[in-house]
Amino acid sequence: MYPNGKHSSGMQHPDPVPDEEHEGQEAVGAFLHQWRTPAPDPAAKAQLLELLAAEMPAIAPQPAANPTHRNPRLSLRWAWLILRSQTRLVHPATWAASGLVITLGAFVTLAFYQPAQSGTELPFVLVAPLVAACGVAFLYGLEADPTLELQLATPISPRVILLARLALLFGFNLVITLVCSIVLSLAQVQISLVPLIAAWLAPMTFLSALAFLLSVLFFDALASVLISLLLWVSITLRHFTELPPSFVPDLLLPNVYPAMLLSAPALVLLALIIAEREERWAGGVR
Amino acid sequence: MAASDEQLAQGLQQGDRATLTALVERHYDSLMGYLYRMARGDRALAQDLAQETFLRALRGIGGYQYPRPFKPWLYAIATNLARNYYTSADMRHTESADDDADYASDDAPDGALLEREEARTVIAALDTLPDHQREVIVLSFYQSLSLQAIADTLDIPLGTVKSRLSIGVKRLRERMEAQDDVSER
Repeated sequence: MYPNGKHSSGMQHPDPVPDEEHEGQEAVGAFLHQWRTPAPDPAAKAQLLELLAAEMPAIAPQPAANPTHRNPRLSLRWAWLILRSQTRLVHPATWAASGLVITLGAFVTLAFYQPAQSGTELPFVLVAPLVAACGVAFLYGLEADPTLELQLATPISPRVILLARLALLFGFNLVITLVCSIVLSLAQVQISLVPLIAAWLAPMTFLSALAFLLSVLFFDALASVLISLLLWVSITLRHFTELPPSFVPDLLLPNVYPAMLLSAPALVLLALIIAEREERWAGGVR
Repeated sequence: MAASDEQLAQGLQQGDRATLTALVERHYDSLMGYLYRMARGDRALAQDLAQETFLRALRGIGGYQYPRPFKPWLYAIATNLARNYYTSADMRHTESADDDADYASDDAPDGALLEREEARTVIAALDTLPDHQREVIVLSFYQSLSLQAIADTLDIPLGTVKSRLSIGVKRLRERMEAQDDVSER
């Protein structure tokens, strides 16, 4: 019964230890075994078995080989079901706030538009990435989602759940911002649609991916929002005023857009790897 | 030949009810013993935690990856639940065996009183250890888990298990010696 010694199975432990230490362990083992194990309680075990049997039908059996991997139609249906289930679980305020603030940004841009303004100078372009990032920051963490722990106990991988949520919210913000951009370009002929989209697409993608990574890293939506906000304000200051902090790169320059777009998937991938590691054991409670 | 725990867990993933009974029969008593120690001798709490452990294991069986060892997976759930109980309720209680109905009352025969006193001494000694050392000591001495299985259960490197075990044993030994000195005087 002692570690590094002879176990109840009769097998010698593979890690040999010095005699003195072994004696010490034996003495400690003898001391610890003064605290005896209580006698088994068959009634409690029978009660547990009844409880588990009642729970059993609610547990969906996991097929030995996932047929969705072979059937594209089933894969699509599976993806649709996950997306639909996650739509209900993202807090309604997240959808409402994202849509409202982006739309407000578009109205402000229209109301105060000056013909000399271009691309990054439009309030809409500065608001949209930040709103998207703030929404994404609230996708992960028990405070943001009390049902997360329960979902992690389902057969669906935490990675798939998180990816589905990210795709949903980012897609929602993308569509809203795209619609607002079209409205802006139609309402103001001086605003060209393609340069406008180019001005917000890369920063929005990059900042959302970064906020997602931060929320997974810190498991704290607020910390992720604050850091994203700080970074975005620094980038904006750097771009428009040349004020410190000069160590912040000017990410609002068009030649940086490709790098931002390419780094976003890498950030998301990193976040998913970290999230999977953190929830490695199903039922792992923080 | 009897099916391994891992094969049973795989059967459970596929909805086989019989494997569930077999897994409970195999692990309930031992898990109760572990949780009884983690709950500092509170049998009712240990039963609640054991029940919750099996429920979570059943609900999360899809997350079990065959052929990884099943026992450390199950004990990881139990450990997390026990830890969570004490941290979330912020009730690092100290009464343990004092008001435990499992132990004999003051009217009990001498043998039972002695057993109670011994248990109390061991619980007090284990309580002097930090949680991370206590977990390793309990898993190693009472559950007879291999060092690798403990590492898997607690999700820590093998070297960390060895060092925690070594320090924990040393501290318990020092406490035992100190108690011997006091009783000799």
